Amino acid sequence: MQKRDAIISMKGITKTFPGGLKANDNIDLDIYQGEIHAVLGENGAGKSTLMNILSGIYRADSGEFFLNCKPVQIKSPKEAISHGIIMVHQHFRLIPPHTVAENIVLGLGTSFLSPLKGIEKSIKEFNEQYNLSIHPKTRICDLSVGEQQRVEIVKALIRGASILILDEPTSVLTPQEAKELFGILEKMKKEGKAIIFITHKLEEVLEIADHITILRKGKVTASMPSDQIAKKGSEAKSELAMKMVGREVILKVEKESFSLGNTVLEVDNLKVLDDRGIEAVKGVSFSVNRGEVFGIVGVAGNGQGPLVEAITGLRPPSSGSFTVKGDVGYIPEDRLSMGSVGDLTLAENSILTDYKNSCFSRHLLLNLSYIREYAEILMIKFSVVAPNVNTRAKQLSGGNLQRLILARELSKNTQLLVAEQPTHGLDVGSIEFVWKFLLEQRKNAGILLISGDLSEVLSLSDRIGVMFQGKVTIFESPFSDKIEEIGLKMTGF
Amino acid sequence: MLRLKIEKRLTPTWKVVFSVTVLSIFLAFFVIGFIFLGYGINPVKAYIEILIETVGNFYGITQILWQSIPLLLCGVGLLLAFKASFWNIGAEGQLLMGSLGATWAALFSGLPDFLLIPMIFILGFAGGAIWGLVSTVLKAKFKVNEVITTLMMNYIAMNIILYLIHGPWKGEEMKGFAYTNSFPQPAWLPTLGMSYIHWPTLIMGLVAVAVIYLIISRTKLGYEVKVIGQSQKAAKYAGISYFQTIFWVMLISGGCAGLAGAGEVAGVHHMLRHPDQISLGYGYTGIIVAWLARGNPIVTILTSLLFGAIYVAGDVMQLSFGLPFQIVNVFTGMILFFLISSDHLMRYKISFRREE
Amino acid sequence: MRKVVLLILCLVFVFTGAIGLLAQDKLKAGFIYVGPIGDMGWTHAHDQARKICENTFPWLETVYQESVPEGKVEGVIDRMIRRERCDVVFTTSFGFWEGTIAAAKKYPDKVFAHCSGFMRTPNCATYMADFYQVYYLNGLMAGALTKSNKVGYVGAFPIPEVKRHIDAFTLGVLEVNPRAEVHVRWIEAWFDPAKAKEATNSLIDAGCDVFAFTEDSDTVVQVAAENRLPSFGHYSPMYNSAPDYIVSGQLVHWELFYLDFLAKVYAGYYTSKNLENVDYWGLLKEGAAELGPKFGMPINPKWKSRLGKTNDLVLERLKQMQNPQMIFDPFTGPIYDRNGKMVVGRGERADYGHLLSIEYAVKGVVGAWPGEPK
Repeated sequence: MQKRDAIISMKGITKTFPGGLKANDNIDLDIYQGEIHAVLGENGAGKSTLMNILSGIYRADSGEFFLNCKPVQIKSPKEAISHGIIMVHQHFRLIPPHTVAENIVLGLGTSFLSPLKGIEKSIKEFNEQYNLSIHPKTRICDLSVGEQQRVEIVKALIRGASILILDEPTSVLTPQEAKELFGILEKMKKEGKAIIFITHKLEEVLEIADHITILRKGKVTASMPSDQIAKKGSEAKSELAMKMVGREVILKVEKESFSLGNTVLEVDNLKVLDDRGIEAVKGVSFSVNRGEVFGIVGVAGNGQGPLVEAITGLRPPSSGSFTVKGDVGYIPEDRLSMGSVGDLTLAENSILTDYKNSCFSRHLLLNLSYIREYAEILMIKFSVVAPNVNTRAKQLSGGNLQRLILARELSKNTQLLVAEQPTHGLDVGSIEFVWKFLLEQRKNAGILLISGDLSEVLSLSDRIGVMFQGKVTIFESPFSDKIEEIGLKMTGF
Repeated sequence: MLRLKIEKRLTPTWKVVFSVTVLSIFLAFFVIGFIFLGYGINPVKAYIEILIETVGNFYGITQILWQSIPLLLCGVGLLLAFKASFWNIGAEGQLLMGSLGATWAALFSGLPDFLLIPMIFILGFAGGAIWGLVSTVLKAKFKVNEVITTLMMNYIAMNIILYLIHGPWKGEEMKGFAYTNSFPQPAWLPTLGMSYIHWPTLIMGLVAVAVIYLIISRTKLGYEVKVIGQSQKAAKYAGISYFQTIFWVMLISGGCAGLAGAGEVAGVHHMLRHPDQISLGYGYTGIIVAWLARGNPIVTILTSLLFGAIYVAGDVMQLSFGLPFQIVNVFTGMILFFLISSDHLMRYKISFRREE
Repeated sequence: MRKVVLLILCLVFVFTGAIGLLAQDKLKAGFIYVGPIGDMGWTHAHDQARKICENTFPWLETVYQESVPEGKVEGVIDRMIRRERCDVVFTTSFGFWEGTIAAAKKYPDKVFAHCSGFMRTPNCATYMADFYQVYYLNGLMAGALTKSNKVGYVGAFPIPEVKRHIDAFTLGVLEVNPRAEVHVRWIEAWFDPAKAKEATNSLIDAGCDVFAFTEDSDTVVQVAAENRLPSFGHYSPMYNSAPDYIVSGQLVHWELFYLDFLAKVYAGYYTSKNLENVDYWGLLKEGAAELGPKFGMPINPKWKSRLGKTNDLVLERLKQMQNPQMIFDPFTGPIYDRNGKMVVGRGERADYGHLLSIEYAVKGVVGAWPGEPK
């Protein structure tokens, strides 16, 4: 085989974020022209960070870039664009009331008086070349998501992209639109463009990629041409899945076993629509009993959000049903703008979901002294570090804030406790703390845990539901011999 | 060498807030001094004269108090609305509808004399409250932006009053001019001594301050208001009903502005006249009065006095120095300008560091 | 001629100030205006008169405050009397009456005069200059000049004063041209150039080709001139705004009143005790009102030939009304309102009370007329 030179070569890329999180750890990556290179990994694996570095949004702490074998520095998105590296983001940067043509010329530096001149012609050319079929005069808000994505692609092409980075492009597409996208990418590949395809879906990667690199916890765990995998068969696929999600030690935490009590949550063929009216939960059934942790694991964006919203009463299901026997305590993923109110004091936050309780308020008035005492007790019991109960919640660190929210929800002694990404972004000490209290709560409640962190779910749960594209597959413990299967289900097999 | 370091300050302390506010007001006065110079007036002399005529003599103080009554009522009501992040720009219209209700009570209700003044305030409150609630329903049920609805309702209120004073409510004694008849004497609010201060309305204002303070700090409603004002997401999570909370908020906010309107027609004009004469922009100035108080209802007493003093100072400047009447707006605008700029600066701390 | 005579009278009073035992050394007068002195109408005219007084009387000092809201009048008067030590206060708007009367009662030894008011006290007189006769003369000319038989009028507020003017104007129009109509648009403001412009354009669209108005700016004159249509100025000399298209107008001489009143106060003839029945009502014969687009020019010469015989009619009527016996007045019966009701009897002349409270529209007026009697 002829040895080609990589158009982009990244060597030893490392980036650490303040707080100690090493997002990229000594990563090497070679991108070739005329190739679709998939970068695979879970949430937090470091793929977004790596691509942001490549497209000039972040700067690496150490490492080198080579463009056509010449060392380059990419200090800003503008510089990246000048080298032909352009990213199509997962969340489009389009302006809905404006037309396709207007969006494309934005920032392009066309003539001041007649900025749209010549654009229609270019758009027509791209349409023909890549089978894009977008009309310059249509307004963005009137386009389908797939069409909007193609506008983003044209934006990149017209700026002279030779290296196109697509961030989770199929996460917003229907299967049909995904197929159309792949067709376009094939055409671009044949024209000699280099395409980097970021995703967590293993099965589509095998469909379209020429080369696969897997990231896990900031490191490259595998990198190979895809035809190597195809040759090895299904064994290789599960090995790949494991390289993505990792082989975990299950019993990281001392777990007392509890006897199962009555059913506190019964979900029956639940279907929920998301904000766009698309079915995000496609008929899910499971139950949770007192005394157990039921962990739903999956990469974010597979329907977990709408599922939790339905169960906590924040979003009505479209069909199916669920029954909760008793009250629900809910620790939301968004602790800053949902789980707590930054400008209110700790005391005020400690009653956020329970303020109508007669202990805290009678008739019209709040029982301020009782609330203060209550907050003080919670602070001590759950080790919330703060000067006093009158401190404002926004002054707390992430870990302390989560302890406060945990304290609040656990102390309600509800029958069902829903914990959504409860240790997301926390330090190790806080993570252990949260785990301890969640497990302890099993004596009073059934716990529904939703997390993207497989090790966390494996450690805490008595039973697991793997969620992928709106459907849940249930696994009973012990999990040690089922990890490969779980990994595969997480990645779509 | 010395380097200038600018750090973000998370929460400015009360000392900082106060001193920055005072500093901005002084800066505004300083700049306006140049306007005086432009008219050939010695600014120092002018300010001394202003000080004498506003706070330096008894008459000036009574004028300030009189002028600040509607500002206090509008301001404290708006403070409550703003705390819930409901941007009520309609205090002007709510005030006018309050004056409409009060006028009906005084001239057309036919009630016995001793009931007139209580009814004036009740209907004044109701007029403003109902007017404010229209925007509330539109926002809560149809998600219509409240800035637009409250603002537009101001114009509707103005035109309703215009229609009434030119038409069905025009007083026979008014020689065809667009005024209602004068209120009967029992419907005139008593004034304090020789001043123009219609003290019942002033008392209403102070009561409103106390009530709103209690609501915010001690009640379930106040709690709900604070959560909604910060994050509607958290409010939903906490099970707080947006409509129910804002309903009470705007009832009170519109009602306070309505009380101001009742006070104006029953305490100052003793009739209903052209809307531009009844409210000299009190509903809009009330927004600054509320905003300056930075969330604390008791501070609206101070801020309303401040703006009352500015209005009085404007009168002095016009009469004693011959400055055009627009000077008051320049004054207010200048203060606003410095306050808004300083608001941003308050969040930064400037310090000097020695660096090699 | 009238003006000169009056001026001499004033000067006589001044130089025989010794007669008045109560004459003071200096007199300070305060003027309270409802609008800005920079408008081209009501307030501007009062302020011009104030300046004339200050220049004429060496013993006179004046202060003023403009754009005073009606609710604040009493407070301003307080300041004028206590801080500025005014002896006389003039309040120049109907809406100031409550504050003026209250202040008059509060300061019984100061002198007050309330313009366009109707309530008086021993120390508060009333005064007014009215244009209705001049509007009638303008109407004669409008009737002669209109080719479409549609004359336009931009009106401020539908109150008796303005209605009186429109009715007088229409009486003139129909006298010369019985088939003509006067179309009215109300802008509900004394000063609002934007609305005046809109109203004028609307009248033009309706087919009007001659214009008169009540609004404190020259907007109507300008808009009419842009469309090459004739108009009549209002209140201030507006000749320079459209020298080719302005025909005539109404002008006022407030100084006639102020000079007279102030001189009498200075001489001790008017005191704070004898003003109960002092009510000035200035028409053409007093010289308070004048015909023309600018002082000293009753009719724009450019339009003389177009007016034909009407030119002479106007001048004749003018002389008749300026006659001290006022041998002609437009509100002489029979006059019918537009519903057919007779409002002034045959051979009768409408009296002061009638004129002050006109609500009807005379025959020939077209358009909305709020407060029209059934």
